[in-house]
Amino acid sequence: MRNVLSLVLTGLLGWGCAQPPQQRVSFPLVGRGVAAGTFTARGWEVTLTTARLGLGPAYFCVTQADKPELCETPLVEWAATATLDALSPVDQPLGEITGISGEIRSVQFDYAITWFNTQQEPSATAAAPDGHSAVLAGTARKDGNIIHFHASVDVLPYSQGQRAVLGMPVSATVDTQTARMVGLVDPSTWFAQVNFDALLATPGDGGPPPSPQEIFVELGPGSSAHNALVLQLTVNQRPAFVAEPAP
Amino acid sequence: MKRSPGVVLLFAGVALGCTGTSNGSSTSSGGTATGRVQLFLEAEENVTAGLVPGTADENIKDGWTVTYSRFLVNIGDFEATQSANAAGHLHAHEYRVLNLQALPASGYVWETFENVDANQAWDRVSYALDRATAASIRDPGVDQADYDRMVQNGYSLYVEGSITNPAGMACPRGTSCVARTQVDFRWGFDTGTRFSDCGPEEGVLGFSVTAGGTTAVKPTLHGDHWWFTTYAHDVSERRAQWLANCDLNGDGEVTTAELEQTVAADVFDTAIYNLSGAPAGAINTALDFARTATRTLGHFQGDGECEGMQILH
Repeated sequence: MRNVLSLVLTGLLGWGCAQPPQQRVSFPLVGRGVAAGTFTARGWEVTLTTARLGLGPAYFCVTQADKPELCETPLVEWAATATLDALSPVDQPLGEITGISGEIRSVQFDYAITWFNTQQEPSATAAAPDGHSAVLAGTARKDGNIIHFHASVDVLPYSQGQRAVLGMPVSATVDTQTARMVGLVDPSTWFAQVNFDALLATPGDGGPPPSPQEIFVELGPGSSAHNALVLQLTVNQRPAFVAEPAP
Repeated sequence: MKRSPGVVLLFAGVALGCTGTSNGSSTSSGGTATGRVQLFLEAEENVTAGLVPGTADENIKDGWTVTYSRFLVNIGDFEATQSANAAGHLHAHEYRVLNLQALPASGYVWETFENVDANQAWDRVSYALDRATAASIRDPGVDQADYDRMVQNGYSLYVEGSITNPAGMACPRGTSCVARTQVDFRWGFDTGTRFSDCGPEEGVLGFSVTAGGTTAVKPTLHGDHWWFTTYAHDVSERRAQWLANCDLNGDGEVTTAELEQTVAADVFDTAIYNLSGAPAGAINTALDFARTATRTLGHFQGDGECEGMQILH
């Protein structure tokens, strides 16, 4: 009886202590967009001709996404920035992720504009397309109206020392068997809250806008359309990060 | 096979020790040090006092005054365990419908636990706000009509109030601004959330019991999260203009239907708001924003955080 008991206890202790040791890991990060096409956004048919996205740096944490302040040291990180063609469905090398093995539960990242504690104000990195987080261009069509738009989108960190995206859930295990991580983006989802109707010219008497119209619009910071794009990029339609093991 | 009486008694003893009771006691780890735990429910001061405009951290920055006239919750399922002692378990199962504006000044005693182990920390603490049911206990501070509203609608939280500003404007969907000095709201939420891994502002998670004494443990509900501009609470501002901009029919009241009809991008300026740390799903509408706020109200010992959150409904 005593021998059986000691065997059981030894097994239990062995299981409890035999957690895999943490190991240094390093693997590439690639980005991937989607092929250009036409999509619908709040009743408008939208076709993008340009969607360049500045991404990074990114810090992957073991803590939950809604407690970013608890992630003082990330498990793995991509301490660089890169430009991604979001209309290209092919893999695009972005850089190298390094750190130690473990379970990722969240990520904090910037869109190529950083505001570290050492910086006086938000600053665009070299990878920010034209100095912005994203450059988007295309046309939106509805009821004969055509809006040619261009957007220089700036996604700024909320305050010094923080990332633009404070915390996003990610579920991934990274170890020495991880071949790479893929960052997936779909720029069509960024337009879900853009109100193209409000961009049409309206007469001063409050009547309906003249139709049809063909206009050229810059969706710059301060506009409601720019606001809608930033909300999607930071809250609702952020990149998906997927860790892939070696085949 | 018939169980022997000895086996039946053993199972009964284990069951009592493992599940605890509403006057729960814990199994000591071997030492004899125990104490009493009094479980209080606290409401942040702004639940009764509201929020005023100003420049201080906890003021409303855009000129509005927030006043609550009703603040009902269905709260319960408090649980505390010990990492260092698997047998340690405190559990107050019942849910109670409470009026947070009618809590006693000396504190609302939710439960009392006697003979609680004082040798090891109670480092895993959780409780829940969940949908009221007929099993929810009506606190005497809640009138029958309010209780029935909570139960019949399955609300976890019901709040009434108004925002006022003598120079207030309402700009539905960000355009066509009109003068609006008061906007009322009456919102019921059926979100269910468990707040876990709760701890004080400083120190380790949970609480430790004073041997031979009484330890106060205080789950705390905050009342200002609908006015936050970011989920990073330590740097958030408080603003209320977004609510005025949701008054789509201009009648001076914003209903949950109007919240649902309001696209988030139309009322949350990203130059002011960063909602990227939203703990529960997308924020496509103002209703998503308001519902998400209810999932962040649970705190501990005042401003201490609950680091875990589980969506029950």
